[in-house]
Amino acid sequence: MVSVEPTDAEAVVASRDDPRAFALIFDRHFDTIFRYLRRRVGRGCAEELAAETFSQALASRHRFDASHTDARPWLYGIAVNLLRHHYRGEERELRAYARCGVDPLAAEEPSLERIDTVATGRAVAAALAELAPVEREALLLYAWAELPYGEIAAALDIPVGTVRSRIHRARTRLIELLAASGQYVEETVDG
Amino acid sequence: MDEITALKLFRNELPERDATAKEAVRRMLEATPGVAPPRRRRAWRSGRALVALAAVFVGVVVVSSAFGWTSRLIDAIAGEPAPPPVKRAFAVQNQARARQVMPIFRSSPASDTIVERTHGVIGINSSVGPVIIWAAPTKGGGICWVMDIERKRRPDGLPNGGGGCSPYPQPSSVAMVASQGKTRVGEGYLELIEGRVRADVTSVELRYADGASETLPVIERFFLHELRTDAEPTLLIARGRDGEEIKRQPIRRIEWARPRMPDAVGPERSVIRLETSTGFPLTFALAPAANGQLCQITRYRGTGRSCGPDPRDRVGPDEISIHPGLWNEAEDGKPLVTLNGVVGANVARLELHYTDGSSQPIPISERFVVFEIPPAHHEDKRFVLIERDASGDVIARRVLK
Repeated sequence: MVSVEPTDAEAVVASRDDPRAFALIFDRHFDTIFRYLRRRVGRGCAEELAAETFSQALASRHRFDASHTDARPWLYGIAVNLLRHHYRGEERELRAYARCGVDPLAAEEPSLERIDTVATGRAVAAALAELAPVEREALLLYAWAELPYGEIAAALDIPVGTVRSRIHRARTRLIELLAASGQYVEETVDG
Repeated sequence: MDEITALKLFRNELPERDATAKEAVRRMLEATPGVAPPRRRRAWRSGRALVALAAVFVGVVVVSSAFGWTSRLIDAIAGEPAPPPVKRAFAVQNQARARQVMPIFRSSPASDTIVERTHGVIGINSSVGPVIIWAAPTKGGGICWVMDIERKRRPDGLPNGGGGCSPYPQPSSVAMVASQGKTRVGEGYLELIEGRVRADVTSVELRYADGASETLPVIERFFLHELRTDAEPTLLIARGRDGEEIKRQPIRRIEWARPRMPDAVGPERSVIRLETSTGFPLTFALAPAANGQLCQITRYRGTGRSCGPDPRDRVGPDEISIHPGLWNEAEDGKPLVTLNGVVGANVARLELHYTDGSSQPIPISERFVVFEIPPAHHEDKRFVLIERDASGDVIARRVLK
C-alpha cells in the first residue's frame, strides 16, 4: 500500500474548493496551537481563542501563501494576533504568580496546582511580565512553539533580523531578571 | 539551568493533547454560522450508491472502441460488500501499521481503514478474467483500495494486484491521478490503466495514436480499464458532466514511461562508514554521474544506487533535508533505523536530543548525514534535531516525530 498524505499547503488549497478539506489542518495542528494558548491564558480562554484561530484561518484560507508547506507559522500568526487583546490580563496573572507563588491558571488547570517552593517558576513569571509584549511573543514562539527564526518571522510578519534582535533582547533581559531574583542562570552558548 | 530551559519548564506540566477541548472547539466551530465545520468525513453515503449504480449502467453502454473491443464492466460491483478475504486484506494492513517498529514510523490512526465498510467500487471483465477494485474508507476521511485480479489471487484468497491509500481527502486541486501497470497473468500480460479523479470529473477519455478513443466511466471517483495492445495509448482527458475538459494527461506505454537514471562516469569515493548495532556495516559513497549529476551508493546487506541531481543543491544554507530510514526490518528481526539526508552549507554541527534528555552529535560528512539511531531509543516518540553554525550558534531546532 502506498500512503499519500497531503502537505498543509495542499490541504489549504484543497479547502478553497471544498471547505471540508480544512479538517486536516484542524486535526493536525489543534493540539499544538491549543497548548500554546493554554500555556499563555489558561484553558477556558484558550478554547475560545483556538476556535477563533481556526475560524479565522478557514475564512482567510484563500490568502494563504501555498509556497509554505507548513501551516503552523500561519496559524501561530493568527493566534498571536488574537492574544494581543489578552496581554494585560496575562501580565496581571504573571505578576500575581510572582508575588504569591501560586499560578492563577491552576484554578482551571489541576496539573499546575502546586506552590512553587523552588521559586524558579515565580522568577520566570516575574521576568515574563517585565518583558515588552513583542519581545515576549517572539521569545515564547522560539522557546514554547519551537519555531525557527524564519518561521517566527513569517508568523509575526516581520524580518528575520528583527526576530533575532527581539529574542536576543528578551533573553538578555530574562537572564538579568532571573539573576536578580536569585536564580542562577548558566551562560548560554546558542544564539 | 540556562534561561531557555527555565522558560521551557514553565507551565510545562500541561498535557500535550486535550481531546475534550478539541471536541469542544470542534462543536464551537460547527455552531458558528458561515463557518464550514471541521467535520469528520464519511466516505460512503447511500445517495452515492445510487449515483454509482447509475454510472455502471451508463458505463456498459459507453465503453467501446472504434474496433469493437470493449473492456466490459462487471454489473453490480459498485457498493457490494467485499468478500471476507478482501476484508481480511485491509485488516492485515491495519495490524501491520500498528506493529511498525518505532513510533515515528507508525502511520497516523487516520490511515486505518474501517474494515467493515469495505465494498466493491468498479470491476471489468479483462482479457485474463475479472479485475475488481475494492475500497474501504479510512478514519481520516480518505480511502484505501486494493486491486483484485481474480487469476492472481493468493491461495488463501487474498487479492494480489497492488493498491493504494489516501488517508485524508484528496486535495481538490488534483483533478486526476492515473496509474499504469503491466503484470504477468498466466501465459499472458495484463496492461491496466486506473486512477482516481476529483468529484466533478464524470468520465475519462482515453485516446490512442491510431485516432481511436474510449470513454471510461467513473464510479466513486475511480476508473479502471484494460489497455489495447495493438495501439499506443497517448492521452487521458478528465471530463465534467457537460463533457468539458478538466484536465489532460499524456501517457505512454509502460516500457518507455520510466525515466532512465544517469550512469556513473567516475570512480566511487567512500564518504561514510558505520559499524551498526546489527553487526552489518553500512557504507555510503559518491560517484560522479553524467551531465554533472551525482550517484549515491549505499551498501547495507545489499547495494542501492541512486543517480540524479545533487541533493545538496536543493537545500538552503540554513536548511536540512533529513529523514528516518528503516532497513530490513522483517528479515531477521534486527531493524536498523537511521537518519539520512543532507544539510545546508551553514550547518556545521547537528545534535540529536532524545526524550530522556540525553543527546548525541550527528556526524556530517561533505554535507551528507547517515546516522544510526541507537536501539535504546527506537521507542522514543519524539526527537529534536538542533542545527548549529560554525560559531556554535543555534540555527534551528526541529522536532522529528
